[in-house]
Amino acid sequence: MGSRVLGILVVVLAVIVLIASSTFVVGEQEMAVRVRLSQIKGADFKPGLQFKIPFMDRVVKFDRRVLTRKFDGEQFLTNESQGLTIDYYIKWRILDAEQFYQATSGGDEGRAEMLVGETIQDGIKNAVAGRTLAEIVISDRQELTGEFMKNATERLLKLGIQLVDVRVQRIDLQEEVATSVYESMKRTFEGIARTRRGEGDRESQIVKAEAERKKVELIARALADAQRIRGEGDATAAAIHAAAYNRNPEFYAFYRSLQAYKNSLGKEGDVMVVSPDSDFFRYFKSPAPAGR
Amino acid sequence: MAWNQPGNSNNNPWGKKPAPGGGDFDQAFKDWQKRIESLFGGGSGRSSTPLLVLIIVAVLIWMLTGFYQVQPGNQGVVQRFGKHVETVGDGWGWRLPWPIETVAKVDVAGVKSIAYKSRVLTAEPNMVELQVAVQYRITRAEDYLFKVREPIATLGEVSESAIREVVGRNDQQAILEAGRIKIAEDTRLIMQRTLDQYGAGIEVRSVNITDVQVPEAVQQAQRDSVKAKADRERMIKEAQAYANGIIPVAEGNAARAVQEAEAYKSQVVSMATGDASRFSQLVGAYEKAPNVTRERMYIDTVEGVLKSSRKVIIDSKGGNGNMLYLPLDKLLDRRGDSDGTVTVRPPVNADPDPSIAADPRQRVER
Repeated sequence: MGSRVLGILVVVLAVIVLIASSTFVVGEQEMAVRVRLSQIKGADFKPGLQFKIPFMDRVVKFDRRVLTRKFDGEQFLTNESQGLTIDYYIKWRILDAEQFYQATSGGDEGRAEMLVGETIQDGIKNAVAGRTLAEIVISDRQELTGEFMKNATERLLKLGIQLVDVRVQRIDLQEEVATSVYESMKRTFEGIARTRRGEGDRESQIVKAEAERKKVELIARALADAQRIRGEGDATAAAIHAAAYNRNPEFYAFYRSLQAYKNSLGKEGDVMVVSPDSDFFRYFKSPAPAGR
Repeated sequence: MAWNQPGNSNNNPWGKKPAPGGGDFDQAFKDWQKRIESLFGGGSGRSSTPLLVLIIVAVLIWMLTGFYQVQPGNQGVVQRFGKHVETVGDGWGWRLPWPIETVAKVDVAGVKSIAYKSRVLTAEPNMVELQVAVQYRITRAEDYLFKVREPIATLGEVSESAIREVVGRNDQQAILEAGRIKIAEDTRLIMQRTLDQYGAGIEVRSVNITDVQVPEAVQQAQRDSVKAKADRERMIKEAQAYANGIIPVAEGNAARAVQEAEAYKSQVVSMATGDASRFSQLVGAYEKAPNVTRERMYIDTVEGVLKSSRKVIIDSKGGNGNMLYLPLDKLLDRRGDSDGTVTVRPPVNADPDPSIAADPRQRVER
């Protein structure tokens, strides 16, 4: 009885091994080639369960997805001989499993990456060498990679590889270039600061000068008004005086003279030296009536 | 009449051979068992029954492993021998057990985010340091799984590359000040386009530039330029304050000058009117008796003048030839005045007639 169970197990195992070695699974994200004695016997497998001849066929699977090859810190020179460190990546995909298998002698992904990388690196090197730093910075993906992408795409297509994208991820400046860029940034900011302060000064002066002009104008106008008003007053006063005094100019002269004497002479401490001949003294000499 | 009467067994609809004490299911099972036993080499069926049960239980358990649950917000991607057969929504489901079918669950509802810091060159070219956060969501689970290897790393690469491209087209002021939102949106569009080109099944919800800094070596100058902006505003405000200060004062001064002139005018006119009136009345009286009035006025005046002065009366027509010595300096000394001249002081303070004294102009004119 024990030998029978063992027998059953052996049979089951044999069946499993047979099934396992005569089928293979191709995932949705995979592609495969079937190789028999170094000859490719099949390549266009759809995802799912596939069959092969046990122990004769070998299956090599590849990734169908978009793959990435990154290059970090690659050194390039611009056409002004400024050193740049550029990080970029390549997106590629295996398009034809058979071609790819042959081109990479056995479907080695690392080898494929090397091929792809070399192709692109030359292109980027040339693109950078033909431009100034400023041109590289403002150029978009199309401008920078467009010229060599077409070439590279064709070349890689022969290897069963589709070049999906090449993008520059980061551009860093090498030490001495960075220093000069920082200097220019500093100068830019200093310029901005100076311009702003200058504008402030200008605005301030304009406002102040305008205010001062207004002030001077205001006062000048007021003084002009004041003089005009004083003139009016003087004119009116003169007219009033003239009107009154014209009635008897001779008496006015007399009256005014007397006023002036009273106002200007005979103050405390004055010394007057007078002759007794004057009219005031006529009775001082003699009481006789005045004979005029 | 009942159709299941014991005596009428041929009419039984359940079967033609109702077997007592076991039924035909037992019989069928036993037949099947025998057949299986013969397959494994025949013999009596007694010993192989536990093995069969074991196999059946194992198969049942294996089938049970086909049940799966997809959490809300997730999608289940079902593969049969690696081939994608369907994508299901949340809830319970059953698939053929491994290794025939598998289910991969992917969160398609949750918005996730990546953040990173990057040094980027602007168009000038200047260098800025950006802090960027990208929010994304997986929209197509099968694309996410089958189209791109390492989709999240790819998202980061695409993001950095896109922001470099956009910032490279803009100048530094745009990034530091106004244009940040525009830059973020442009970046998002480029990212989405690129990811769609790769077929990544990822939707970029938003790109946020959370912080922008200039490199350390430049920060002081940059801060000063910001301060200069404040300085400009301050200078303008100060100037306006100054202007606001002096204009009202000037207006006050102007008004004062005008008012003073008006006052002068009124004063002059009033005084002239007064003087004229006084004179007119005097003239009236005078004309009635000119000689007497004239004489009286004259004597009154001279009296007033001489009354308060020291006086020296000299009769120059005396003719006696004597030299007259008049010690003027002594006379002046006595009153403490040493300037050696006989002066008549302006009658400003001691004027008996204030209406005249207050008018300086009349003294000048007459």
